[in-house]
Amino acid sequence: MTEQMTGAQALVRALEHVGVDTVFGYPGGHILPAYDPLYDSTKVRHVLVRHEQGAGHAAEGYAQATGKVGVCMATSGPGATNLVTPIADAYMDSVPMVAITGQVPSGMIGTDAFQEADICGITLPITKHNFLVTDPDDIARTIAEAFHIASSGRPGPVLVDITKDALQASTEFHWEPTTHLPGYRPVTRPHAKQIQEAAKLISEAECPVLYVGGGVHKAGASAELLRLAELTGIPVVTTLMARGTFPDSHPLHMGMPGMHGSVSAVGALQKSDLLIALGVRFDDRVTGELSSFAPRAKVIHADIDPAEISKNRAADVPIVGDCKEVIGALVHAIDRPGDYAKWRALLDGLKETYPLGYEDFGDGSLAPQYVLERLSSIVGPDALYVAGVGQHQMWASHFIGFEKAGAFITSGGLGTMGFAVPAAMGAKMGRPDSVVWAIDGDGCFQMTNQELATCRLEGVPIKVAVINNGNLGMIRQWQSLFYGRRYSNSDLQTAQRVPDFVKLAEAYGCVSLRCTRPEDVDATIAKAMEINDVPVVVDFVVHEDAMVWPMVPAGTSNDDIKIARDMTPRWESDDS
Amino acid sequence: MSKHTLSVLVEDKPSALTRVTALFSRRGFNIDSLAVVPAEGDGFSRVTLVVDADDTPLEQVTRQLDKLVNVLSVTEVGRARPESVYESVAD
Repeated sequence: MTEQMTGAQALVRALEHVGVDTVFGYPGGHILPAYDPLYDSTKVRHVLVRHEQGAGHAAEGYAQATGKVGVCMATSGPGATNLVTPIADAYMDSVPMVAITGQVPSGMIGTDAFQEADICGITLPITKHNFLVTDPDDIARTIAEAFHIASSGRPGPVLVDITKDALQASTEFHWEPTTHLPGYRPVTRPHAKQIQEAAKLISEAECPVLYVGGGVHKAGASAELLRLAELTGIPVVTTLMARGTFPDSHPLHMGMPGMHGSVSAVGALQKSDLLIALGVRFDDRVTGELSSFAPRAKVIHADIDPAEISKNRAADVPIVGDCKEVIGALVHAIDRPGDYAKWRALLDGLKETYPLGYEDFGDGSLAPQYVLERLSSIVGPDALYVAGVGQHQMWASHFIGFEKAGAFITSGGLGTMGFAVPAAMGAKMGRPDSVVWAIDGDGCFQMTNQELATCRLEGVPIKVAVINNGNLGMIRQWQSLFYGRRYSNSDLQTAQRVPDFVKLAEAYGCVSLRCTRPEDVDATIAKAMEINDVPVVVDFVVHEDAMVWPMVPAGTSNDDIKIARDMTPRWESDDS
Repeated sequence: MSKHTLSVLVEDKPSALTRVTALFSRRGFNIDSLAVVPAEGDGFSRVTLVVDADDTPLEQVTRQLDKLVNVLSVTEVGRARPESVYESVAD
């Protein structure tokens, strides 16, 4: 059955058909035709953000909290270019997202028309795919294709750029449209021969480690992972994108590897003779200097994206497939636990000798790590934690106890400051019954806090912990360690209360609290937890010299990990 | 480095050639020569290009090319394609 309608109506109808319930967006001239039928839709709620970047990150937060495709919408030109950062972020972190942008009328493309930008050209290297639609008859099919591409295989962002004349013209709408993607064929089922090869390597290994990344969570495979780990007794490390995919409290969990990884996690990789790499991409923030990364280890590398395999580190057993199927197949192929007593003893020793810790400055000031420790303890593992980028992100990863897959949402690959507030908003809209805490730095918070207005007006009661050390903390840390304490342009002077975050949050109609002393932390968090009708912002004023440890300085070997300034761990029983 | 000739079957769409060539430039390859002709069947084109590259990075860029939504197949002309992960495991 077909119906006659405008391209804009067809767009909204198509969004309804693919199951969209929330769109984060901002109108403008060339997308305006779409906003008229959107006004009437009872199925699609449009959330008017305060900046298009906020719309993009909100769509990411929504997608990561729900597993569904996040949707953002903007006009042509500056509206579209403001989406570039979140699109790049979603690309790096494999977040399923569809971005819909208006474009100048097709006859004006290429004339430098008002608010014209070649957004398909601009986003070509940062989208999984993009479409320019100039014919209203193509709108419904393109939306169906975009959602299919964004959500299948390795997820990612897809941009649909629609010209204004296509939105205004008349078309015949029918659903389900015929999709035509002859070149798109993601592989999800692992090859049985590769699984057998992997099982053989695992049975021969003495020091294996499960190196677990975001792909395992995206595949919904945390239960399978737990079975595999417990069946075999193989230790596990979870990357930043996989925090919570394996419970932190589990004795087999060695922590997060990488530049700020725990000694036990970094040691587990470096001393291993077999990396069972699942849904990871051997990112430089994990491997450090590649040539000295896990030097003795053979590699089983399973990923849904064939182009990730052997990209940075050659795989001995490559497996292309969805991690849920891969891990499930491995569980079947391996029938007995290995004997890893010596290996486990080494790692348990590292875990015990070098636990995550932090410095108390002894001056009554607040340690940022303490704030996160208490937050974790009071709020618990059922909440969603959404972090920005920098020191606070690393502390959140370290000091919050993650027990559930997907409980930690952050900007990993792109490292986008300003991610937390809008992403937390999106996450809360996707999971309204969950407590959502944004953990932000004072630098990050000043980039995107305008979305507090959206949160307040749309009834999205997120909680924001600003870990306020008055500085760009991670920059300050690097300057302190590598630039002779020359703090060039890293002092935000937030200590002078410019801006005053309490007043700022009040101005946005939020409840705002400030905490400057360790003894007030618990009561402040408890108070924030009592407020569920409006957003809460807590300004935690912390010591400016707190550092993130451990640290592998950029470009150096993981073997040279520092647990404090000029302090390296002793790799006991190094003969293994 | 050695010369390789790749034959890439793509959908005949305005952006397809840009997607293919942009991928090479993004990965740091210089394309020595390039030709595009209509391919068998309606709506497809064949891009034939010559690049200077070592085997390993070429294998990597080939997989990246394969991932492009508008690309149907990538083959190296004049020699059997090295066994790729994709072929070795895809049923």
